[in-house]
Amino acid sequence: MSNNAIKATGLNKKYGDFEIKNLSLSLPSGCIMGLIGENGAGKSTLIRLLMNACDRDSGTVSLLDDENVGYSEDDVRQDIGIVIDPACLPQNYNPVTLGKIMSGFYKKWDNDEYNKYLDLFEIDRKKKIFNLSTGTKMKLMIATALSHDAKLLILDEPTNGLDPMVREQFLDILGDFTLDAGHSVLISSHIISDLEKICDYVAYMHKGELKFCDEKDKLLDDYRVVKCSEAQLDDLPKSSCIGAKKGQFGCEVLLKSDDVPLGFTKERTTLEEIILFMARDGKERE
Amino acid sequence: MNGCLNKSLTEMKSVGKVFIAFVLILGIIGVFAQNDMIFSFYITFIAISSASQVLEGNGTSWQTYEYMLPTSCEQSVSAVYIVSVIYNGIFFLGTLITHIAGGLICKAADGALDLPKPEDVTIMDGEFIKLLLFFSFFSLFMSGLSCAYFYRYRHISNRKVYIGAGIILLVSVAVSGIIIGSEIVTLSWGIVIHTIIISLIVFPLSEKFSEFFYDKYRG
Repeated sequence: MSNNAIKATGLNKKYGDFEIKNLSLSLPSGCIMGLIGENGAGKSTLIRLLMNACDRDSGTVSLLDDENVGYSEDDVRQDIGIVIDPACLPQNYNPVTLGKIMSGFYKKWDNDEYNKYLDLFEIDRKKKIFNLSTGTKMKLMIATALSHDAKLLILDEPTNGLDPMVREQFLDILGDFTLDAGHSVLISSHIISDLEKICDYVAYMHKGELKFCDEKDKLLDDYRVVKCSEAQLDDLPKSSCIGAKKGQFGCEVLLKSDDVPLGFTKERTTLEEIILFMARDGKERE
Repeated sequence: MNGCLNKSLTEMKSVGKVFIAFVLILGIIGVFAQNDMIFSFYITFIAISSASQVLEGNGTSWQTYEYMLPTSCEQSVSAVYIVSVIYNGIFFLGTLITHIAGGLICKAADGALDLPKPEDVTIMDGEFIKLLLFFSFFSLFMSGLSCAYFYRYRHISNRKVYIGAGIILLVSVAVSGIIIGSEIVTLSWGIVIHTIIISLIVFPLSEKFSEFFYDKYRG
């Protein structure tokens, strides 16, 4: 079994004004990592770089302990399930034809498994893909990612367009998938509450930079939201305030747990709050 | 069959029907009308159809997905080229069928229904076959060179790909300019030699050969 499902070191990529800067992250095997970031933060670019679907300027990538990603039909991508924008699917085919095509790519393609997911997601086998709704297209892409005995799933906003019931179902599938210690998932999403439910690790990107990549539980332990008045906020050392929100009835401040002064009530925070405070603070600094 | 070729051929099954119908109808009309303009259009069509194959294979969102699927550069570009060659084949066959059929109908009609008399049936004063071969060559040359180029630079930025495509176009026009003055035999050999060269560059004819290019071009 591989130690790291994903290991990226010193990744750099420049696209016009946009730049991925010296990005390093690793995802241990058997874990789920949530990739969070605003639109245009570089999540999809990072996924393309990981899959070697575009050249990197510098840095190294290893998936399932293999650095030769994307050089032959027998490479490590055989063990990776991928979900990206479903607009990439060939739109003139129906799901059955798509299954036949995918079987030509994946040596371990399991048509029974594929059909099982088509049934589970209630996907019409005869409809052409362009006639399917956005959510159904996404379900189809998820079905293809799960039908070839993948050890690693790389999912770029897979819950886009899914209704809450299917989203819940999908999160359960991911939970079941990682019951096998050799299975890992990298999932990017804007629905942070979903990620909080399933992720072991969280990575946050902002404008091409990885702001943090840590264990979810550690993050939740490390940060606290403190409610205070504006006067109290002014008294807090600026260096310890990670983010603040001023409201009609006082202020909320995100602090490192250890930096919360005596006398303040420490409230356990959510991942969504941490990200929102950080994102807001990032915008104010710009 | 590898996934790329499977996908391209499946695509061709649906688009190909329209293509074949178009070739047959235009070909028959061309013979009956004995109009040089129609023939010129008919021939130009082949160049466009092959170019569209290369664009379809390299410029759509499918490409983004394909790069993440387990496939090699050789597989993805050879699939595009094979389809391009098949389209050329269909075009040749369609031309042959329509012109024989058109000729036979004109002969049978023997001047009735305002159809040209058998002795009047000529195609661009005998220049048609030459032009047909020229455009086939032009089309295969462009798509072949594009495939070879994408094979090497498929991960490079769009700007470089467009510059490359521009260079390919200029080279194609220049080479075609030289070739258009050639005889039919020369054009035919040009097509054969070109196909062999592109095959050698693009297709993994043997594992060893493929590995050689794989090692040479990786990264």
